[in-house]
Amino acid sequence: MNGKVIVASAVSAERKLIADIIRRAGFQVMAETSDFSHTLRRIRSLYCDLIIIDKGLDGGKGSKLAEIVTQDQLAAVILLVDDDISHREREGHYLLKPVSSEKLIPAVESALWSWKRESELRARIRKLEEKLETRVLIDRVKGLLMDAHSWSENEAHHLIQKEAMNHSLTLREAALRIAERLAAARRSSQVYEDRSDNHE
Amino acid sequence: MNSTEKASVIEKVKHYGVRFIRLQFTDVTGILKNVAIPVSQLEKALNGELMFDGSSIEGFARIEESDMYLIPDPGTFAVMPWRPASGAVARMICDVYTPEPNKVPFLGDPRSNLKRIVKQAEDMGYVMNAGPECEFFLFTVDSEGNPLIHTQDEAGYFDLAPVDLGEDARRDMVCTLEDMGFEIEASHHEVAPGQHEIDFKYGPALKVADDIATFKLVVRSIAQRHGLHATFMAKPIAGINGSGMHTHQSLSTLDGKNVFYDPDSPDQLSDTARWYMGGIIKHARGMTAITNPTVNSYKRLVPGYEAPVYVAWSHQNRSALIRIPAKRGPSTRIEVRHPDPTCNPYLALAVMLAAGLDGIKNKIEPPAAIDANIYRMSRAEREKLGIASLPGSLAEALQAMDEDELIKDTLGPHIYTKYVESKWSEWESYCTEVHPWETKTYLRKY
Repeated sequence: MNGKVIVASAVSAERKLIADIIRRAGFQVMAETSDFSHTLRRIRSLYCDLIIIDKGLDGGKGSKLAEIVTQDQLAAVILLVDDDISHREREGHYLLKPVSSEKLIPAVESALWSWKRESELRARIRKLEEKLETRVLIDRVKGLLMDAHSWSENEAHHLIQKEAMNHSLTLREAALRIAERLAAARRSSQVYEDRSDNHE
Repeated sequence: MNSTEKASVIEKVKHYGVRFIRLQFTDVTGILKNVAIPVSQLEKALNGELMFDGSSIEGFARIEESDMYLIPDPGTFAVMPWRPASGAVARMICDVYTPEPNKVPFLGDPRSNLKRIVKQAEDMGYVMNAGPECEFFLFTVDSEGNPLIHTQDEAGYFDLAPVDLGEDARRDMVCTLEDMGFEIEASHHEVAPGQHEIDFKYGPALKVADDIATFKLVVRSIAQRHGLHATFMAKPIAGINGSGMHTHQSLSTLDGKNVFYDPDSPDQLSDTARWYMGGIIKHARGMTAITNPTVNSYKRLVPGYEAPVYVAWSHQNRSALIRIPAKRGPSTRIEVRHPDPTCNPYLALAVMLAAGLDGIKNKIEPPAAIDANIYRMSRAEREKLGIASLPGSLAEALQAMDEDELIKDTLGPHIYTKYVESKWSEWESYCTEVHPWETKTYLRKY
């Protein structure tokens, strides 16, 4: 397995050691950083798969940095901690110091694998959410069409399909277009009704 | 607050899994303050029963009247998008009320004060719409976490990848603001290196003041998450453009018709628009201490950049205080160009609106439009045309405000006294300090 890694720690000896272990195992070390803000700037400008963060960083907390990277889904994270580990820090991948090759490499590999799986799952969830939204939308537009024209469900569905095919649209776009048209038609008929009210 | 509004807030809190709510308000200098409460206190907060200690807030009460009520405005409920989905944090902007037995809007609360002026406009049949253009700089941060004066663009020189961190951060800011319900109209790099601008949709004065306060918080928080520091300081670097908050404004009738537009007049501006401008021009010097509230603000208001120095109006020229954008019809508006983003948005909108209303009430005619570049005129030419200058320093602005009864009334005695106190002490501290310029210039020479 390979991957691109950024190593962040305020202690330069530790940084060197980790980078060395990582390189020997065949991973690519993109950057070694020591302070909070610089690390963030690096993470956002270099594409990487994993960030190994020591709890101790200059100019900010390593745990806060890990939180930002996780929340913004920038890469996998391993947090290096001492014995005094807080409940919050246990929520992600963490590794007790001192670091050794035997401990670090398995942790790196499992963090990278779960990051990969997580990313795939996220993409799938996003797709499913979109599908679900489209479903709901199409059902609603079908309902509107059935009401407006006293059509069967099949007829309504057919109209949406036809709209999509005629204008090279996705079903979702076609449904939206029809919904807008129906709303506009209803508005103008309402104005008409309002006027007729006035006449009376 | 009625029960449907309350129910809708409680519903949203459940839906987003909110665990903490920040109740926000600003002090007189426009700094956003907040009291964080757990969800268990929400009901109490919504009923307006939550108290806080106001005595430690700049420009608030004396120690003996320190307990104040926070009354949240349910319309301002928003979830902070940069918090995790589990245990999300939401916020509501609040009005500050005095303790029992009176429990009335606190005179030192800038938001309640703006509401008072908005009400005055409503009584005259007007609604103010405002659209700010907020500029800011993105700087890098050193290893200690302190902001540097290096702009991000220059720092990017050493980066391996051709990625503009500033662009990236700005995109993230726009997305976050949109998640919070902002309609972003434009976002772009500004004139100076490292300078950015994000414009959001205009709206009624109170909403826009709330939005400006939120905007600043979002921009600064997101910048931090990108390893950058965002500053709204008016002129962070001498010699390059400063950051302004040009404020587009117009009045409409209560049913939404723009009253600045008159298709029959030669420049299609109505009498109301001209008088409104007349009012702004009359009180321009008096309101500057509010719209440009820091010592540093006056280093932006110098000739040669896009910031105004002279009190005049123009159809096109950007050296004037007020520019009239070319759009007409429902978009007819004026652009007041001197405010900068360090101002307290509630106070700044209040003084501009009050000055405009004064112009309408007293039918104040503005001087003729000046479409030439005023920077190139000689002093004599300017005097002939009757063009005054904006105050040259915070001290001059405070003196000018002291002579302007309308602006003082607009702020009310409580805010005025506290504000002036705090600003004079800021000025005095600046005057007694020995600045690097002085040592650079004099140390060797004498």
